[in-house]
Amino acid sequence: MKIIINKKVASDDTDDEVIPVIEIDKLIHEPARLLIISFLYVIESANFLGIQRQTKLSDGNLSSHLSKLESAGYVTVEKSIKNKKTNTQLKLSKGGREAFEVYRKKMTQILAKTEN
Amino acid sequence: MEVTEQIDIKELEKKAWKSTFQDGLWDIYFGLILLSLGFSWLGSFFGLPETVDVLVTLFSWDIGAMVLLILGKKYITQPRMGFVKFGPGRKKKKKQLAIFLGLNVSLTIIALIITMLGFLQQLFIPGFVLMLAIGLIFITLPFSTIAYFLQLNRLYLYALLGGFGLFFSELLYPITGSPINDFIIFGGVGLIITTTGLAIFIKFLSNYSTSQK
Repeated sequence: MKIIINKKVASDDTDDEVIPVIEIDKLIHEPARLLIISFLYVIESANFLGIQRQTKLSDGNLSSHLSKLESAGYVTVEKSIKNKKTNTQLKLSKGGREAFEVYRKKMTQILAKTEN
Repeated sequence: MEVTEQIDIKELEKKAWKSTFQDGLWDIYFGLILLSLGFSWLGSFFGLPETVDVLVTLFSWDIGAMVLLILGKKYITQPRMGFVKFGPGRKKKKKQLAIFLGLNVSLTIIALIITMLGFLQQLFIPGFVLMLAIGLIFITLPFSTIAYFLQLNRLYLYALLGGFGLFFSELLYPITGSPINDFIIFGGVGLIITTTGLAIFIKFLSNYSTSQK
């Protein structure tokens, strides 16, 4: 079995069993962002507080990760004024949804291979 | 923070869904519904005709409980837990629940009128058997359906307590008479459930403060 990490072959076996660890989306792979994306994947949308309660991340930490996900186009942010307060509604974009599905598939393959 | 290697998507969604019920408002709502059965005699104080007094008391009380649940969710839970819009699967389930409850309310009104007009007494079925059947059909079944759709397991217990309430109330009738039998049984069960809900609600308030976000 081969596991490619930074383009180095970790062990030798046939080529069709190569596991492309390098292709794992690092933006999603970060634990806090993985938590945010996983949560947004199972729902339709949530406001900032809703995500914070579920992920238990601090204000600053969540804002920072959401900005990165928004910059990558994975999360769409809609701001509106509700009862004189800013309401930030967040949603996983189509691209973000697809990226997470690809990530899950690859991680499942890698975990299955390493278990063998 | 720990993130498990394999993320169980279904479990994650279920956990997020269940977290919206840690405010105890559904418990308070169920408790108040059962309490209304214990206080159904209150309408007689307002000089309303027989049968109408019970119906007016039950419906005004239950509508009050429903309003409390809706306002509580909007003005107490949401500012503390945030707003989460769940996927199409949950929306479909909510719609199914609304249809079922609509049908159930209509059936309950019909059954209540039939019972109060004395038609059931002509069936020659022992009173406690009849009350057990009515309790299971019109209290346990709808409460259990709500528990199933909400995935809130403790509601099954409330459903059983409420369903058997009519049966025990009927057993108590020869000793205490009416409406003391209903007051003892449903007042007691309703009070226990409402108190449980209030305890969960107080714990929720102390765990979650309001946020400006």
